[in-house]
Amino acid sequence: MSISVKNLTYVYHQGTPLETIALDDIELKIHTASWLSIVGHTGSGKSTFAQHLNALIFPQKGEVEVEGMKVGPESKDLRNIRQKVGLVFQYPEQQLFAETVYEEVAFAPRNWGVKDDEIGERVEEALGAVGLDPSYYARNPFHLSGGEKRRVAIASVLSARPLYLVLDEPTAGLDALGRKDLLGLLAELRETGMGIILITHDLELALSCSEQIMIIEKGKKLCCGTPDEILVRLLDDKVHGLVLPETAMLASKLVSEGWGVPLTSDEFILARSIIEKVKS
Amino acid sequence: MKFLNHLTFGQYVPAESLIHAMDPRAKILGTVSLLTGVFLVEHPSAFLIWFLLLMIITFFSKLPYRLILGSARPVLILVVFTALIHVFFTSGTPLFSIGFLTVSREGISMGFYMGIRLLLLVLFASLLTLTTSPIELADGLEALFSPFKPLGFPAHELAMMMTIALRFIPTLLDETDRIMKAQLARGADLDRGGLIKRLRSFIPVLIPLFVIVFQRADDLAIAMESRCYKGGKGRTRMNPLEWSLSDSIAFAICLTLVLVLSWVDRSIW
Repeated sequence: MSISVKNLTYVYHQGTPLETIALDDIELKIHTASWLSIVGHTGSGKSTFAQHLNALIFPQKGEVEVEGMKVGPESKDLRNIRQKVGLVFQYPEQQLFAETVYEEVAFAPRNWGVKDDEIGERVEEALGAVGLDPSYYARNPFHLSGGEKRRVAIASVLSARPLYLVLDEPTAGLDALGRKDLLGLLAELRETGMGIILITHDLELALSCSEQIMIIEKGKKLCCGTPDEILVRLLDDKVHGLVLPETAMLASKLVSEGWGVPLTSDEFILARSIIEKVKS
Repeated sequence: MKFLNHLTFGQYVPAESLIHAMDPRAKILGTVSLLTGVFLVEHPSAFLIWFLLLMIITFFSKLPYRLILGSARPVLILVVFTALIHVFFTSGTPLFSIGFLTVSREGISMGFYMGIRLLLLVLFASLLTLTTSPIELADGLEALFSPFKPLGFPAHELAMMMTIALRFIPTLLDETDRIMKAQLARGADLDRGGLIKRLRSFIPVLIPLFVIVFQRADDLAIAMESRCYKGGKGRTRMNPLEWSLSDSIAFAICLTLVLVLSWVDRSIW
């Protein structure tokens, strides 16, 4: 049960003066029941990478396989791949079109040919997962608040019951509470066995919630590892456009001064460690 | 999946070339004169000369030939449709019939002429937009229309509308692409089925797009008002347009070519 990416390369506007290498020889394996964050600054190629996973873009070189199904123009499994890998674009509320929340969330299962009697169950399940009760069903999605619109948009992807959920900058434009709620929802989905793939430029966010992080720069995979490994690597070798969390910078300074605290971006762990050191 | 990747019509590609460096007024006037010449063609082989001219200007613009030729791709259906309309609906000596449609000798000739003229029109217009930034294009048009201002002609307003429209072409193409992909990711089937099914399947793309367009228009209006925009009266320019000797020469060459080629077309061929 995995997504396998081998030597993936993609170039926009090939052969024109606007030619841009978006992805250059990327290798990666993604499993269900895991949380991978792909981090890079604007224009690093992370969104292009996300769209390959959902077969919206086909590899120009290399290959992408989702659960053994190859992504490519000749593939007969494109719809199957898109059903398995749910993709939530940046500002997903901008894709809303239906007259009611129910119809919006029922859009995906209808497209996948789910029977009418099962659609209601899926809508209820998906809206429940994002914390919207049945009083929302008949409401017009355009009349909801920004945060509610985003929840509806995410529910409309979840209703297809994907194995993997790819989210492109999902916290953009959300306030602190909305961001916390969303991350809580993603952690719950991860616990149900879904593979979460978070595309973000926010290193602090990725360090706080991921199991694996891949750093991408100018289309190249710079490094991949656990948050701790990534932190150590980035403290040694800074990446243009990525800002290390202040907690991590402080921890690094304390380590270099011989304090013996862990290198971490988690402020609670660092604070506890400092208190213990001071007490002892 | 390519979607809107090949749309180059209306795009600007910066480069350091003779054509890019020209004054936008000279480019606009030159293009208009060349297009007039294309519509004056009477002999089919004269079209070859016009294509050759297009290639020569492309050479001086330092843009790839495939970029210029590729810009006609989105309008090829329109070109073929226009040609067919003329083939079937021009009266003249009948050659054969397909059902209720009759094809005449004059129809085939007119279809060929109109198809090629439309194609050349798109290619020359693309060359203008590919080598002239939207701001330059709008400034050029405003300057050309400004003599009509005393007659009540809204030169500045038209130029501003054009600047905004051109500025938003790539943005809206990106938005369309993104919404199409978002709906495809939710299982929408946009490119299968008959005409009615396809039109219906585009509703999930069109509604969000309209919402975004109105939202953007609203945001832009507020942004312009907050910066005290009150139309063109009393505005000065950071980079005023400068018509140089090379612009006069380039425009004169275009005019001469049109006159000479039209004369050759009518008198010699």
